[in-house]
Amino acid sequence: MEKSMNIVVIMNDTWRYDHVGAHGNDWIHTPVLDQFAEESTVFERQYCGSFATIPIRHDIWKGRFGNPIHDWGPLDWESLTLPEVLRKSGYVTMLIHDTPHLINYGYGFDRPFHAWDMIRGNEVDRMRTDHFKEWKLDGFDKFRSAEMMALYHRQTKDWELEEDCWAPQVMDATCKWLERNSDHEKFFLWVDSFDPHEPWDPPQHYVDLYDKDYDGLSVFWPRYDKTENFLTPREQEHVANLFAAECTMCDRHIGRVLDTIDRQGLRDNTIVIIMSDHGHYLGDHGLQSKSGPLYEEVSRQIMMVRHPEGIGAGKRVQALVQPADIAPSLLELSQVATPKDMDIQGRSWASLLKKDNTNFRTAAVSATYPTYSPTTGFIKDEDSNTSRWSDQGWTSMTVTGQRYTLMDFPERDRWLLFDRETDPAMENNIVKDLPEEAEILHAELIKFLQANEAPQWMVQLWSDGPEGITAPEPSEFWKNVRKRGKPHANPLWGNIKG
Amino acid sequence: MNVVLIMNDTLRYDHLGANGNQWIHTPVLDQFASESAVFDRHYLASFPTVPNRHEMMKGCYGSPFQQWGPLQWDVKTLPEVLRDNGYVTMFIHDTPHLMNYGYGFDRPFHAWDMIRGNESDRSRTDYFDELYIPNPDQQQPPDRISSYRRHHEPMINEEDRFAPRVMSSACKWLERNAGHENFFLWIDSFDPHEPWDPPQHYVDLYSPNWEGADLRWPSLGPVNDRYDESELNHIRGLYAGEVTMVDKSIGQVLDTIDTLGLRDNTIVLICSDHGFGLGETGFLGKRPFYSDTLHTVMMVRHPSGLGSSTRVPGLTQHPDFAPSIMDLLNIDLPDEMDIQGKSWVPLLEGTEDNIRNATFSGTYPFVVPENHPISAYIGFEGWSPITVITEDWWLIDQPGNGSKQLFDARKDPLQQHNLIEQYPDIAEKLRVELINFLKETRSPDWLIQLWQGDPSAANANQEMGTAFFSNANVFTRGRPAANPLIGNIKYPEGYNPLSLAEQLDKK
Repeated sequence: MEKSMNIVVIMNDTWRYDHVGAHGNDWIHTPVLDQFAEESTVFERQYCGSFATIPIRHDIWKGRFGNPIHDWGPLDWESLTLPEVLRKSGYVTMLIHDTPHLINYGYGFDRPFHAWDMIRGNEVDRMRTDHFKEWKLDGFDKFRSAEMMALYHRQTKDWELEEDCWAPQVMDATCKWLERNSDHEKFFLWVDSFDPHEPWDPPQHYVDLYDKDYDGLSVFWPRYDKTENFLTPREQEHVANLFAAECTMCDRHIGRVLDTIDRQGLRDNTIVIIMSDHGHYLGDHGLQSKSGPLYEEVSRQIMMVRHPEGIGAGKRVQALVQPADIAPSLLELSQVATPKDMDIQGRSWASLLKKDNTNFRTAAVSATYPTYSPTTGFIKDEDSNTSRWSDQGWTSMTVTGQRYTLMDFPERDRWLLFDRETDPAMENNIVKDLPEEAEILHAELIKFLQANEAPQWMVQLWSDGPEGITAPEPSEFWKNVRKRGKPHANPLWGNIKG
Repeated sequence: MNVVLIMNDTLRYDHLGANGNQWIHTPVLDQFASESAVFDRHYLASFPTVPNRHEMMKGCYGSPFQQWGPLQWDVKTLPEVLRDNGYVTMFIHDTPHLMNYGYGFDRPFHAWDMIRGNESDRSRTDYFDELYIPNPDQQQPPDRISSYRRHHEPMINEEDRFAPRVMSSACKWLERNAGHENFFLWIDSFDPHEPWDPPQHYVDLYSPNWEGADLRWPSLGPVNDRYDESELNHIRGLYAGEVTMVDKSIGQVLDTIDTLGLRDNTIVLICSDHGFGLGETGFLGKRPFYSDTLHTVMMVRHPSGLGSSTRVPGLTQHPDFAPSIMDLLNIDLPDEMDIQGKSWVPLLEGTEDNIRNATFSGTYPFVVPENHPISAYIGFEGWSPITVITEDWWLIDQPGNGSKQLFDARKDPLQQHNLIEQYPDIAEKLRVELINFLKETRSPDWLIQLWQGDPSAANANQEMGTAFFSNANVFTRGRPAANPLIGNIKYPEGYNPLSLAEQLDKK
């Protein structure tokens, strides 16, 4: 193709794959994404590689699986990233976001772009330290942490209207940027909207779509725990409805951006991607959390690609794709040579826009950086002022195959195997019935670890089991990142009553 | 006890009425000076902006000076110490280098607010059709011209300017946070750093009726015939206008401190990081050599009246800031910190006249090849000089065959009469002090050898450009203008500019 093509990526944190009408959800209101899906290639099987938010950004921008699973930390100075490659190739590059972790503490995700604009105050963003005497929050022990709720209170207490909320602000900044920048020859715009990540506090008119007459406790920023430990069934239901309401709000404001793209005459020369990074359990598997083994409610991502020439419009792709594939794909679609220094581990799915290929990838591995929990329970994370439900033992890696999914723990007796065809909700562990399928997926995991430069201890841990293996001491650098740069809520500085 | 620090980039010592300037309008700072201890010999150590913030946060010089680069992850800094001691810590700023590219100076604070768009900040990429520059030799490189067009041109009223916005944010923060028991607020106002574009009513105080060229962000280096005297005067007027605007904005904060009842339990410090040469020595720009750049503002107002209305003549530098604050707040210096500065509290208390015998100013060592484009901006070739200032002498020293300059610090406050021929022995003595300084700050052996007269190891070690920055990746990915976005700039027929970045990249 001869024309220069703009690229707009709208990343939405925590937007579950199954919370889009076009993905088969018959009760959620997402008219914008539904319409967009009809004009796009819809990837139905994109699974995160590294997890969660920040590790996923590493994967996407580097085209890699994070060696192989990236820990949570700043963008390193050494790596060549997608925005930098596009920039050097003549693209005007811009980052617009409210995702707190991209800039705070010197994480540097703005670095490769020409410019950046951050909407402040979402979640653990460190915007305000206001003193307050007392704030009433009913049932606050059900919330994420007192400190985070105090931060929330400081950063949203002057909100009044929908336009004050974060997704509206991010998309507003995006529309303004598009208006000011549409005349550039070619641009790459990355919009990182943190909504619909918690807190789930959309305006009442959105909540009314799902739970109009609820008058119970509204736990809009629930802690990460087993549902039964802290929520009544009705409270859990309401939390799920709050999340859906926030998705609808995000949907609406993405619509404004798509509208602006049209009005600025950019539709015919702009590739638009709408995606998410992971989801969240809303009572699924007994959890109100996103930690624990990565089931589809968390690992599966929204991924819709609208090509300006209509290539792949309306298609549904079943190939297993992952965030590491995005960089090589966009580089191929924009006909920009991929520098060898990028050391890409993902694969381009550009050809899949024309024709699906379920052999594209045999199995997708999704995992958080491996950690060991010495006990089971609601345990405090030392790096931050937060706690979460944890099962004793190592974290697992999820291996998604063509039909089966394996939760692969270093401790073999904890393995979970599911048949997505007959049991899409993954409620029925069949590892004892089909051990050979489990072994096949396990072999895929080992192959993946070895192919993607996993450290030896990690390969050994999964190959031989946990006997005698401890994770190595983090390097001084990682120790300092944990000490000085892990998102942590500031002190309470006030009283929360309730 | 609260602490409010107001850092003003590029504010010259001699542009305050209280420091002897008879024509400038700085009523707020003059009043503040009358309530404060005013330091008369506060000289920068690490030059310029980012190295200066490193030494203020860490309380140490560097080896021998700090490099330009991100805040390292493995250092404990003053805000972190105060946090550990129960202080609420806040960072409000518009200094573009402190957070762009992941420099992370927000890291040790509880929270931060950045006013976007000053100078080389990267917040807008607006397309523009065409911008005609009729006087390119008097303008900054094209990427900066474009940045100005995008970030500064849209400002209309005084309240849109940067210092007013930074101070306004600080006032709001004070109002919301006055109820805390102890807080530390660091206000880093980039104004009055260039570009100098205050509203007309400030320009009118100093350069009314100007109808000449647009000189709000002039190109730097030797003046030669690039600017005539009237243009230089106008540039000086623009700078002074911005200083007056900053003065007024600071007044908002001081007023808020009073209104909120915080005066009696808040230490207020007002300082700057370096000055700027406004053509007095034939050079427009900042170099760590003369008073115009090295002599910085430092004033401390203590609620107890400690040092109030006194002048502090002792030699002080920016690494002294951290230990002094900890001293004032009765906080022990943590072992983890490599404090090389000294507390100036004894100077305020009158128990000591001096905390040091000499100050040292400069950059992390690097060598500028002859005729390299950067030399026009920073004003030297060869190995980077170090300026040594004592009670009586002012030496600009350079290794090897570099030109040395020696001045009488007391009788020649503008460094106009080079006495190096007459007093070579003084220069030798000060060179010994300099080498001691290099050793005390644990400078690398090759550097010490270089200054001792043996450049062999040095020649193998250093190259232009990257040494000034803390690593090669900072040079390519994280220096101001690492990501130039040049717009549609039209120059007069036949003129062909290279952006500074392009010049640097060509090495």
